[in-house]
Amino acid sequence: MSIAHGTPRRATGRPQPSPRTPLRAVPARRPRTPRAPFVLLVVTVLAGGLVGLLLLNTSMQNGAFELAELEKKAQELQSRHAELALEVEQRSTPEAVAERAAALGMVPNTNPAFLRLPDGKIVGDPEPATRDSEAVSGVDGPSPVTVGDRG
Amino acid sequence: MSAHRNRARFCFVVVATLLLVFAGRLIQIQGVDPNAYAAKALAASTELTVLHADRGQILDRDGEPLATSMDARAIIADPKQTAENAPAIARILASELDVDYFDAVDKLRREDSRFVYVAREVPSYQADRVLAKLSEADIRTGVDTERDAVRTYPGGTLGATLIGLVSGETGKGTSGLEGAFDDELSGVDGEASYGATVKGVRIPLARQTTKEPVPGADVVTTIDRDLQWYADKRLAAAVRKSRSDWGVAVTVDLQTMQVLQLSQLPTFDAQDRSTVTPAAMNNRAVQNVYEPGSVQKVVTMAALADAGLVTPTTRVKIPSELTLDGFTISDWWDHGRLRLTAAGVIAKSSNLGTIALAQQMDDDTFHDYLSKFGFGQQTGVGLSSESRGILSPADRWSAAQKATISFGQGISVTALQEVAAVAAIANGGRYEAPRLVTEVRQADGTTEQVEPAATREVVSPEAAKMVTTMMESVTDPDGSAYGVRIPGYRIAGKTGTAWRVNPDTGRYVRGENTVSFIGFAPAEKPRFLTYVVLDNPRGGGSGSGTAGPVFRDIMQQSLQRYGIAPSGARAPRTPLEW
Repeated sequence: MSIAHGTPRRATGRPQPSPRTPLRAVPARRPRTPRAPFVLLVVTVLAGGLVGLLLLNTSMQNGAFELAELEKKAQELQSRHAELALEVEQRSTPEAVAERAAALGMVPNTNPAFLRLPDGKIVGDPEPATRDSEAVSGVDGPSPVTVGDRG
Repeated sequence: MSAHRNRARFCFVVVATLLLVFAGRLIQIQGVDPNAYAAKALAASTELTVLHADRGQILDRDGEPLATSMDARAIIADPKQTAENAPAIARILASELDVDYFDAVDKLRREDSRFVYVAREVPSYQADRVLAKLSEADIRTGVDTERDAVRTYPGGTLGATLIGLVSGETGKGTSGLEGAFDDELSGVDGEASYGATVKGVRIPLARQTTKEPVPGADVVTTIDRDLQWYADKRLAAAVRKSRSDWGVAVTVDLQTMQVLQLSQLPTFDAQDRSTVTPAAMNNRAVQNVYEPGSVQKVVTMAALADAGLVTPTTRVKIPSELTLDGFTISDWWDHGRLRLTAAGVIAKSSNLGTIALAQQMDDDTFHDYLSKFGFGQQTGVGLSSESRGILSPADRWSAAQKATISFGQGISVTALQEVAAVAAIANGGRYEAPRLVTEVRQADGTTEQVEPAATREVVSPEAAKMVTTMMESVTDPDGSAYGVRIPGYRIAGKTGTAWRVNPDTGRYVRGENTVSFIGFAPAEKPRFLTYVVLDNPRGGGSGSGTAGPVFRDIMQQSLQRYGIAPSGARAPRTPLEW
């Protein structure tokens, strides 16, 4: 009996069913990542990049325009400044000042008095300036370019 | 099966060949001569523009501009594009600028050129206006502007000869201070390069490099602009009235030997090139030599006083005339035998008295004194083409020449030499060369002081004092120039009426003189020295009557401007006769 209950005999002549693979728990099927969001992301990134690039470009162009505009404005203001500076220069030359003073009826005073501060003394013989002394004011008289042997 | 493989092999060969070609080219470009190719590529797409450096200013002692640069433009045109609208463009140009209409039309239609200057040195604001008008009329095509700096001289004629000019073509200073300080005034040009398309259009944000121009330095002179203007006008009035060939007036501040004004006529208007003539460009104070005449007597006296041979009261017997080497020398007024003191010799300007006193000194010693006073040498004031004057060596003097040199004939000087010599007397015997420039201010803010030249003692302070006393007697009631006194001030001066040498023949011309007056004030504490020279006044003129009043007016202005109060002191009365 021990034989009958012993280990199965080999080569009994008929095919034996192959041993069953042990059963295992099938891992839960991972839900497949949907394709759509990824595509959307890529498209968004691409579009975003494109739009960003476009914006950057536009802003750069705008910047260039603004730069040109401001440069032009700076140029204009510089010209204006030069114009005004020239006018100031021309109006503040000794000649121009003397002429305007003379036009206002001012005459040079050839005999001024000096006040000496330490002792409060008046030095010099003050004389009222007269129109006669205008001869030495330099306002009238020939222009320096008209005199001498000009060769 | 084999067809597949053949195709793959074929592709491989093609790709490999291509890669090989690329690799070869890469090695050629990168390995063999990388720089040449890089440079070529850069050059093809790089536009280069010169950035002009601004020329420095010439300033007066208070920083007021005497010469300055203004931003200006040149109007340029491409005739190929403008020919069609030439009349319309020219009309706008002629109405806005100082441009001749027909001239402009010609230029705008020129056939052989694609670049013409229609107008130059146009102030920027005017150029902008013109372009705006052209754009408005829609005929702007072919017209453009280009930077074209313009030098402006706000004072016009003010000190024009001294300040000088800048050449329109090269931008270099050609005369006066503009020429002498050209290196300092002109800066270093820079350049800008930027990426551009083949057509020359600038590529925004492409690489660009800029070498900033270094602006020129400002030159600070010693000139007082107001006093210079006044002296110019006053001298001009005198030159006109006396109908002189030329005139020079110089004022120096004796404390610093700075030239406050240097007026030279004839001159020009620096804003109007048509007034520029060779005679007007001549810096006569340093370039023109002439015989100084009696003004020189004070130098002779200083030498004699220093050698202990003369004091203001030294007695001199003066004959009516004197014959030396066959030349008869007399005084400017007829007199019999005279008894004058040395002060009287100066006060009355006696040639014979000066000769008599100068005979006590030997030729070499006298020559040495003259050299020490700076005659025969440049003053080194800094203007170009300065003359040394003519002082012949003592061993070549005849008896007559020594005699005439003692009263200022037979010696030729420049006005600035005479100023420096007499200033030495005013400054107690100490010689210091006059100065025109004090400072060079670099654009970066650093300043370079122009150091004054070394001083030297020429005569003793006592000798200088004695000569000052003698010179004060010139403006005495009995002196030769009573008319030049200024109320309240003590004036030491000397007149000069020299025979004039005709520059062509080298001979004196009867009736032609060079008249002058030199003087300083206040005599007790000298502050200013003024020298006035008028050459060849018609009718002869005189030092006291022709040059004297100019001296008086300029001196009065100087004293007033610098607040020198009159002392009210009286000049010591020195006996003139005995």
